[in-house]
Amino acid sequence: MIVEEKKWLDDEEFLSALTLSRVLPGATQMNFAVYVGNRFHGLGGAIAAVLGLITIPFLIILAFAYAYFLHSTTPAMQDVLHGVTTVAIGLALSTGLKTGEKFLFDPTALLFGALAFAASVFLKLPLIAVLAILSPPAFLVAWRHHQRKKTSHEASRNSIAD
Amino acid sequence: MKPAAILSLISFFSVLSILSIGGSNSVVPEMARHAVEVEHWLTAAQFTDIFAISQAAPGPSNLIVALIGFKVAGFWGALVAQLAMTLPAVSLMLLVSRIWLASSGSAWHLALEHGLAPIAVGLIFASGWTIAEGASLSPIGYVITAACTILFWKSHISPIPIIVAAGLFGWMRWI
Repeated sequence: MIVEEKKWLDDEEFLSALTLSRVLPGATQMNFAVYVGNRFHGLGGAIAAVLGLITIPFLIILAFAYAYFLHSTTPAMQDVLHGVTTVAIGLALSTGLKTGEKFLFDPTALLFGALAFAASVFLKLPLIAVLAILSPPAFLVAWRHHQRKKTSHEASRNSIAD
Repeated sequence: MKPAAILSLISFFSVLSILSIGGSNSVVPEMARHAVEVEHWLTAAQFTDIFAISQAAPGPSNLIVALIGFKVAGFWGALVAQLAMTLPAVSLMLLVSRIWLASSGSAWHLALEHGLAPIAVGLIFASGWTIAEGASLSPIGYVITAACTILFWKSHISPIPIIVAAGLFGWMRWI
């Protein structure tokens, strides 16, 4: 939504901010809110983004806490959750397709994407291990690619890469 | 208010905040151990229930700590636990974001951004896959998931009304 509707971030900045938000401790959405808030309005923006993200859910969870602990009525949460999950999975997969479709004809990117997927799904490696193993080679490949581009660009008197 | 309980909420959750690499779900086992076995804040069955509640409720996954805090010391317990779980991680993220943004445009920043992008995409697919594996979807569930994937991929429709509708359908046990 942040990328499509508001056009606040481009795909690449979105993915790097998302990776930062996932690697660092804390809830991913909250970290992402801090990134976006800080990116556009500094400390105040970060605080506003966190408060905006958490205030209403906090009040809702308080209502659930009250209902559960003080009236011991377990809400039909599992059923609701089951329905919501179907959409949530679709949402995750569509985000992958949207941000990833441009890599379809880029063999290096496809390889790293597939390795990350396999390491996470089939080897069940934790996120931090996947990144520790795959980031250094991915960084080196991208680095060499940029250096080569820069040299060829400089040759044609155009130094801005990509 | 119970000052001793409030203090133990602060000291436990502020440490857990910094340890919660990969989101708060990664520290749920430690949370369960401490809250149920060490402090006896709640029973194991209650912990399972509040985990389900916090997953189903909208908002960040770490709201489970507000439920624990509420059980320990009511409203103030919930507020203090949530703040203790939020502030340390958020401050670290702010610091790292600033360092990351300050370097934007530099060669290593660009290379890292380009290198990480396909890995991030692979991990997004992995999280969708993992949730689907654990969700034990019905055939109708799979159809809805596939339809939503294509819909959100190819259109710019807001997911919120569809999430609400799916929640209602789930509640009616239609999914």
